[in-house]
Amino acid sequence: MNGCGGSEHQFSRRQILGSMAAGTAAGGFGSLLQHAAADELQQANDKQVLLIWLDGGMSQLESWDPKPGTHYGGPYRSIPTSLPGIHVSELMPQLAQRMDRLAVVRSMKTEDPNHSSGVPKILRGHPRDRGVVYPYFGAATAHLLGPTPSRLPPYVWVKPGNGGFISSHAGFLGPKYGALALGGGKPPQNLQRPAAISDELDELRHRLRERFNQRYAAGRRPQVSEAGSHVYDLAQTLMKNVDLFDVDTLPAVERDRYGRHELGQHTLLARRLLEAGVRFVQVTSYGWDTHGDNFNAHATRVPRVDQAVSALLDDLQDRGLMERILVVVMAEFGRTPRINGSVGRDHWPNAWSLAMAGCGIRPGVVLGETLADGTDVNSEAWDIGALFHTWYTALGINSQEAEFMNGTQPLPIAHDDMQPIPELLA
Amino acid sequence: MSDEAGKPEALTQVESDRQLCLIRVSPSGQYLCGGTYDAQIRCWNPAELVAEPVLRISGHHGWVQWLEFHPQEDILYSCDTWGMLAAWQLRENQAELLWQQEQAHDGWIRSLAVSNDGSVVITGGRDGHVRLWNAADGQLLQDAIADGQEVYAVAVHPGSQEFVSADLFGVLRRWERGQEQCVSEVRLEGMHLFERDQDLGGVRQLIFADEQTLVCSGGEPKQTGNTIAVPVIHWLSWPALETAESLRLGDEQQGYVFDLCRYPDDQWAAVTSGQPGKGQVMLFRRGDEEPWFRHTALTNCHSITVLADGHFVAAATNRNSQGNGAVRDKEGNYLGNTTPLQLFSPGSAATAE
Repeated sequence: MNGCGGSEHQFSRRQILGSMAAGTAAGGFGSLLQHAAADELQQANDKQVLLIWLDGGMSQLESWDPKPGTHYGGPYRSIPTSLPGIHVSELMPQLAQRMDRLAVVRSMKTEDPNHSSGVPKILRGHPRDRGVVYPYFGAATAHLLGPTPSRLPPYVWVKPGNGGFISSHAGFLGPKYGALALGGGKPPQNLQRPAAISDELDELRHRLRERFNQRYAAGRRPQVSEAGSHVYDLAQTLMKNVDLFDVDTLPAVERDRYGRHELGQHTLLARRLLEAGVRFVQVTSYGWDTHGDNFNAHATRVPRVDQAVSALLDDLQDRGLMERILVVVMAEFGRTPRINGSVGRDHWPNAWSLAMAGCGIRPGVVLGETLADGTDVNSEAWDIGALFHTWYTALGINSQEAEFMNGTQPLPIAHDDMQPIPELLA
Repeated sequence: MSDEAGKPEALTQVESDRQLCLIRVSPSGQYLCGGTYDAQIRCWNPAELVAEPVLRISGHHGWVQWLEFHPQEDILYSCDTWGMLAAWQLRENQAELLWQQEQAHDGWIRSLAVSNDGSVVITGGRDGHVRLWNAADGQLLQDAIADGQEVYAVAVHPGSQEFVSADLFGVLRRWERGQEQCVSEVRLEGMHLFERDQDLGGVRQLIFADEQTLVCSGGEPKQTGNTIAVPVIHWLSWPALETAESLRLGDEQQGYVFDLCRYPDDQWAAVTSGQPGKGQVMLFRRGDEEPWFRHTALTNCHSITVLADGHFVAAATNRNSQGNGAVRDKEGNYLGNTTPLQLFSPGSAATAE
């Protein structure tokens, strides 16, 4: 049940509590990992995460858990994979060939059938309700593992639409642990320093800004005052890496492999961000809430996931990065077996699937099963809390002992009634 | 049978406990056949419409997406989403398999049509191919590649060696028998939308009204996720493929024209399905600004077929077919959706007006 880093990379509750106490005393809520032990954790841990989030809910029946030829199976065939006896939807021919590198859970069973409440529940790991707002997976991981030596933003969210700094993802950790959102895969606006500003002038501006910051911080909670300068520092770091966003420097064939579509190009950018040292990247694809025209929608959407994720897996393998990058592909739920009058499928948390690969994950695993018609789980059911334990463990974090600090309140990092799923761990 | 105003009346309604993709009536009027979401063909007697089918045909896979009859005989041509094409002789409530092509296409056959003389069957598939088949024995006559794009609709020209296909992107292609390349192509504006990494829309059906007129139907999509589209029918000149006239059958809640067929006296019958609870049955003529008959009591209508005497049957969806989470009966069984089959009396535009 060890993560990819082995036991030497796991950290006990005592170590973390020790660092937490000192960190808190040193001034700051949510400063758990600012002590020596935490530094050690962060320095020793080179693990990174890519979360591909299919917002709205991809149909498990048109992807990981097909039920061809059954009442609710839909129009598509299933195809064999590189794992003997395992089939996936015909819409995923490339991933079918790479199933031996993936771990798929087909027996996810969660509680919430609504987007507005379900998305944050899943992205927070749905811990026991203690009246506090937990951080999203990205914010939590960025906090627990900190930035990599690159000092690039630890948590970057590549998404369609607008960008910005999304502090709400941080929950009780405080706004500085929010997501730097790259809207449309573009860097924040005005990232480049105007050519008319010399190094000397820039340094003067920097000092002036720090003085303003100090004045602003006086009398304010550190969480609040730190966030502003933190975001500025992130922007400064990004300015030094602005070439990351210049896709014109990439060979056309590389862009083609990921697909000249939003998900493809954003996944390619995510790989480049991870290679440059971002700790956690979330790529979001919108539009999966297919209440209408589900099958035509999946016919054009799933092949784009197939293409982008397959290219990513190949690149991570070719670059030797599978050992340290955890890849997760999921949504807030799946879609109903029954087909509605709009030829759509509705929300279905009762029996759905997700996939993962890379760091600390045992490849070639298909865990759990659903009934022959897909209408319920037919094996041990897994909640998202168990998956968060599993992923933290895979990242070298002892999920059952490590705790967050919310002020003076210690909080488990994942649901305290659950534990890692051993079958999924390398 | 129709009411005093000449508008059709809703008569018998029965329910298929399996959802249907499409329904068609045989030339003899003895068989109302529907392709199901679970690989069957179910046949009813429209003259004595009861829930229990008089015939169930198995052998297909996936969805039985499209059905058409021979113009004069009770020979049924059927295709499915796994690529199978078959011909069946229906007689005395029995089905005899005349021929089948297990892999007529690689995967989903989207559309099927039969030439007016009954000699040729044409199919279009998700694999981007348009294929002509000998209707008598199922032999492949021609394989045309529609630019690698997903073919949604096909039709055979009634007076020449030409045929036509249309795709997800709203592109019409005119073909000539024996030619590898299409003769011409036209994109119909508004029938395709790319949004949030998804292509949606497409021309859903093609029918030749006569040798000079091609009718195409579908919708003008407005957004992904829910079925938000304006149902539309275009009349195009042949062979120029220029749009001569268009009729929009409702607002964007009404979705797509799911099925279109001829109605007596040069009229047309269509059904639409869009947002939950939306969708109508309509009768109209070319030139109408508004259908002269709209039936709104059925929801999410997926198919319509007309008997020789003007009676017609619409296939819809049970109410409350949408819903998140599990829907179960008192015994805890998971509940699927169904297809109500509604028989209508004939109508007359002249008397209705």
